[in-house]
Amino acid sequence: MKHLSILLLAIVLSAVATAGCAKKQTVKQEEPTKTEIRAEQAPIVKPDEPAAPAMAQRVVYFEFDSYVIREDAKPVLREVSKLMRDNPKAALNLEGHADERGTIEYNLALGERRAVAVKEYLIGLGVSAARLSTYTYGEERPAAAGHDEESWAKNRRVEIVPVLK
Amino acid sequence: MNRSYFNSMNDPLLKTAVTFFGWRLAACLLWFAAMGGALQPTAFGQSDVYLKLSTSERRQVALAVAPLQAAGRAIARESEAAQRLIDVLAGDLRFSLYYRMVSAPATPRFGFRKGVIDYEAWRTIGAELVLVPLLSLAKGSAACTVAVHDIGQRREVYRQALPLAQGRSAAHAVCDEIILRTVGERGIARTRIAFCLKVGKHKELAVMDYDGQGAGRLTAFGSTVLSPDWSPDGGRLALMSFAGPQTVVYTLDLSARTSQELLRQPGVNVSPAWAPDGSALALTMSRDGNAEIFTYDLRTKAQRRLTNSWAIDCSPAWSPSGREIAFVSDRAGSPQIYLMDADGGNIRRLIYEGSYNTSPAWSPKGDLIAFVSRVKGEFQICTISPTGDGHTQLTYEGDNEDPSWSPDGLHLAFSSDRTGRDEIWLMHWDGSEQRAVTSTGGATMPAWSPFPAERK
Repeated sequence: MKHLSILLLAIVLSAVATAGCAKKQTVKQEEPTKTEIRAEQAPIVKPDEPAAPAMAQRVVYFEFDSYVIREDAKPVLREVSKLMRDNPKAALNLEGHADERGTIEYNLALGERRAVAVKEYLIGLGVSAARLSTYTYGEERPAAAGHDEESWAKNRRVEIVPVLK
Repeated sequence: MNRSYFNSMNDPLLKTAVTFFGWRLAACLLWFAAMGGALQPTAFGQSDVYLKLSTSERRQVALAVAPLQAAGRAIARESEAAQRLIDVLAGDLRFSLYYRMVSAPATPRFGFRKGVIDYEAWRTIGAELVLVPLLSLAKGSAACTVAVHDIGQRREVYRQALPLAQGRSAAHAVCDEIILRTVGERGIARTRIAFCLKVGKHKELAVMDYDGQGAGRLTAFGSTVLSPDWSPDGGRLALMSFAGPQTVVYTLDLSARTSQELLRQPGVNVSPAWAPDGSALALTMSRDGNAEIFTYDLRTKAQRRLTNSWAIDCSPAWSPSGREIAFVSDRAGSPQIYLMDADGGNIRRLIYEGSYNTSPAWSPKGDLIAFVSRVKGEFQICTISPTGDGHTQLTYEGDNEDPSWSPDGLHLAFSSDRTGRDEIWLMHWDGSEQRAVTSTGGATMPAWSPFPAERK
């Protein structure tokens, strides 16, 4: 009995002591335990972007130093204008490029001029200007890495990229 | 190209003739001016008149560099370090074009007798100035000093410490000081060159000493950076970069190490060029439908359009006076260089040779415009006077682009792929001594810094 009372007393006293301590001490910030939140077996992905209109990206090509729409570009652009009619929510980024010859700054302007030429042609085919945005990469993003006419011809281009408005 | 009109006025007969005909001639000219002067368009018009000041008209001073003189016991290691810096100093002096370097004979102790300079010996080999490097050992540490002796005056005219611990920059500083004292001009030994460097799939800005040493990357934009251009005080750089497919003009503050977006108008925002008084940028924007030259006031943020044509107008380059701008336009059917007043008036074509002329860069001396011309399918750096004469081709090999003048107008930096890789090259204003200063490849669009800020 005696041991039990002493034990009980000890417990009560320690409880009081620690309770007092708890009141006087500032609450110590506990180190957040570092647990990684691991990926679940089948993590949820975000829903598909509303499908871009079923339009593959198209490219039209240009002669050296020129921003004149070539004859072989016209069927491509007619097709694009038709697809734009069929997909009223679609918009296009027209991204102009130049081959590596010539000065970097002038090629930026030339790339844009090519994109603007495509925009004007599409407007002529009935596409609304508000759905067409022009950009340039100059000679900075070649499609073909070679230093010959075959590569250069592939780099003088406007890429017609469907985007969602 | 020696313009010494006024020297000839010492001739008394000529003086009389000018006095007699002078006012009559002046009257005739006034009459023509009153008639409109537009009988035929001239390239002069309102443009500035420039004097030819390249060193082809300045006599080079004959300079010899004496071997390192060691006073007292010199340690081999310090001797090597000092000699390396003396070589850098000699290279800077030679490159500056102000001196004709004279070699001392290889005989030991030439030009000195019992440790004292022997002026007669230097005079006999044609030296007018002698640079004497001196290494002394005091209290256990080596100190290097450079003295300059004037052979004609037979005395030391200048002495400066060359702190070995400061390395190459100490040698560059001494070079600029010697040039200032002996020639009266500001040297370029402490200038730097910013350039575009291919990093992975895109390009960032890097900067190096004018001689190619100490190159370091300046930006980490993560998207291609192009067209660096220094502010006139050397504290900032304007440049263009891509944000997605959109081109945007930024400035960098070099001491604060921050960047600031300036212009993101619809269309292109490219090729910024800082006005010589630091108040504005000229640049190319197509926000009005096609690429035109604009100015952008850095204080008021006002945008002012200068050109007005259906054609591409781009790549503005200011004259050193800030009163004119050279630019590229294809209004004649192919890219050509035009000049205009800084308010957009008085547009006139500069070059009539060649089917592709771009990248104008106006010398800070005002007397030459460097540019890129397509010659036989390759791109070469050429120069021409602002009045359209003296068309001179400077490079002949590979594709050479983006000329940039040193602030003294005596040297050009440019990019060349003649070795198979894009590197930054230097040459003098006349195309001499072409040499690469980078070896990494992927280096383009150099921009030579202004003179360093004046030391207080």
